[in-house]
Amino acid sequence: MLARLNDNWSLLNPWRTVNGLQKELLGLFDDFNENLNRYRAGYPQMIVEDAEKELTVKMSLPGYDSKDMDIEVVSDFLTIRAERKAPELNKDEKFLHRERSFGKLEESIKLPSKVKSGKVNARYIDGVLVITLPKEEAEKPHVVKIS
Amino acid sequence: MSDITKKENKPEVSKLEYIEFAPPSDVVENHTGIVVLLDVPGATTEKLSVNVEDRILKIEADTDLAQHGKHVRYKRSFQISHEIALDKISAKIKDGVLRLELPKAESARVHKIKVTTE
Repeated sequence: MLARLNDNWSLLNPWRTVNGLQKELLGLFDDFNENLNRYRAGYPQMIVEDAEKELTVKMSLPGYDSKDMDIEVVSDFLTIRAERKAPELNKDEKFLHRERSFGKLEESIKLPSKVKSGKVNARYIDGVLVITLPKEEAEKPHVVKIS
Repeated sequence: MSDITKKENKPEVSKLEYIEFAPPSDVVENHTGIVVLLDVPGATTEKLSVNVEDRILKIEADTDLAQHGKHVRYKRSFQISHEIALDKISAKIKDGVLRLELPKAESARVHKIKVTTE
């Protein structure tokens, strides 16, 4: 867990939590050339927007229930836990094809700046968890005079 | 939806440029037809287009999510069998999951006939 937190890989790579099948497909793609219009598998996992006064973290959680989501902010670390229950089929139904992933998910990221953890706001809109985190005012540099 | 489109928090986004994703799907069959479920976070029924041409079902859904300054668009197509009644296909998105219902034509449904002994 700590090793994962110590780099900012999760901020750069939207593919960290995709399931096995998508991971295999991923080998075909790379994120180096952002300017190319590529066809990618899956969906953007997490988008972090860094504005002057606040950060906005958008995490794709399609088909989840907001009751099964849990957000934790400690200093400049954000942890999101969520669970999506697998659909139960009726007796006369059967899967012909399966790609979507279900189950528990935990994602921790180091935020680009410190935030006011008491003023974090989260909404679940169209399958996207939108978290707004107001930034902590930067400390003024303390100048020490040398006499 | 308006919350995702908050312009002041975002860098300039070109309206014409899209980044395309093939969303993961599940396909379920039951005795009345086929149900296709696709994970399309950020997409809404208003920005969804579904059409069928030569038995190819094409799905396109736009979002207001942006990555690297480009809008996220979902695109996927499926080949569908002749058993499907094309005029009865329906689609809707809820909480980022697209549900497509493809009912079988009445003639293609299995009719169970009870066999009785005399």
